[in-house]
Amino acid sequence: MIRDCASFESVLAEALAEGPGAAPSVLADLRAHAGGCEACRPSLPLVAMAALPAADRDPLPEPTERDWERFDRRLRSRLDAETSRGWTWAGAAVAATVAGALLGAWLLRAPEVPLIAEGPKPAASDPEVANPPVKPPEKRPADEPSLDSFARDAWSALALGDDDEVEPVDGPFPDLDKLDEKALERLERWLDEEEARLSPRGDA
Amino acid sequence: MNVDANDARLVDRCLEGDRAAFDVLVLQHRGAVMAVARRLLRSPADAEDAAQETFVRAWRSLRSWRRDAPLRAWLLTIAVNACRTRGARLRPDEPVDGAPEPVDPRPRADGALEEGEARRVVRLAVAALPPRQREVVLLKVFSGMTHEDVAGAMGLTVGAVKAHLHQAVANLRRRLTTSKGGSR
Repeated sequence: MIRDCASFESVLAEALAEGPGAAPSVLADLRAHAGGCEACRPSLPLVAMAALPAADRDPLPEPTERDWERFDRRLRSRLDAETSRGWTWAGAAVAATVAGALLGAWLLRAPEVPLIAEGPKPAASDPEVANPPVKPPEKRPADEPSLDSFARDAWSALALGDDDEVEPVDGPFPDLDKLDEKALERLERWLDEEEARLSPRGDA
Repeated sequence: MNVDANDARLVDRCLEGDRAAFDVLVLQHRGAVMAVARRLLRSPADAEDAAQETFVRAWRSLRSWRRDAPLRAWLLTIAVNACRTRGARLRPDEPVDGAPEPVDPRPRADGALEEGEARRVVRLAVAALPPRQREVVLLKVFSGMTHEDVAGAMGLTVGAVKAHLHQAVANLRRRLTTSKGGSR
C-alpha cells in the first residue's frame, strides 16, 4: 500500500523501469493513491504507461524494406569512400616519401662548386704566397645571378691590377666598373675575409 | 554459436580487411542502433543519419572495441554519442512521420485524458527534462533496455541510471501537475 506521495513517486519509477510492464498489484496501488491524491492525480498518464510493455508505451513506426535498402546503399557508399580515402592517404604518404628520397639524392649528387678554386698549397717561402695568383672561381652552371657570379666579376676586376684600366664587366653586375676606390677597398677586404673563411685548415 | 563469440569472429575478419564481414555486423545490429536513434531523435531522417554515422565511426575504430563488453553495447554507445552530436531536436508535439497521432480532444467521462492526448502530454513533459534524464527515460522506459545496457550506452553506472530515472519521474510528476494538459 502506498502511504504518501514520496512512496508513490518511488514505486512509479520502479514500475516504469519494468520492460514487460508493471505487475497488476503494483498498478492497483498506484491508481488507488493517485485517484485520491490531488497532487498525484495528474501522473495517471504515467501509471497508464507503466501498465504497457515498453515497446507499446510510445510506439514508433518501424523502418520499411525500402528504408533499409536506402540505408544499406548509403552506408555502403560512405564506407567505400572511407576505404578509398584510406588508400589515397597511404598512397600519398608512400609517394611523398619516394619523392623526398629522390629529391634528396639529386641534391646530394649536385657537385659543390668552391667559391675559390683550390690549387696546390704553396710553401711558406714561396714568393707567390705573399701575392697569390688571382684566380676567379669556376663558373657554375646556374642560370640565375648568384653571389658566385658577383665574386667572379669582382675577382676579374681586381686581377687587372691598379694600373690597368678596368674593363667593363659583362655580367650580372655591369656597374662594378663604376665602383670608386673606397668601394673597391671594401670589396677587397670582404673577399680576403671570404678567402680566409673558405680556405682549408692547415694551410701553410 | 554464442552471439558475442560470433561478433568477435566477424570483427577479427573486418580487421583483416574483410568488408563483407562488416556488412554482416551491420545487418545484425542496425535494428537496435536505428531504434535508439529514432527514440532519441524522433525525426526518421535525423535518426538514419545518426545510425549511418554510428557504423562509419565503428568501422574507423573497430580496434578500440574492448571485448569485455558486448559489441552491441559498444555500438549503442557510439549511437548515443552520434545522436548527441546531431542534437536532440525534439518536436514532441508532432507525431512521428508515418504515425498519425489519434487525438480525441473530448475528455473521458471520468475526466482522464484519452490515450493519444495522454501520450502527447507525457511526450511534452519528457522533452522538457534535462538531457541525461531525458535519455534515461527514452532508453529505459520507452525502449525497454536493461539498466546495464542503458548504463553502457550512456557511460554511466547502473546506480546512476536508477538515480537519473527516479529524478526524472519526480520532474515528470511536477511538470504534469502544472501542465495545462493534466487531467482535471
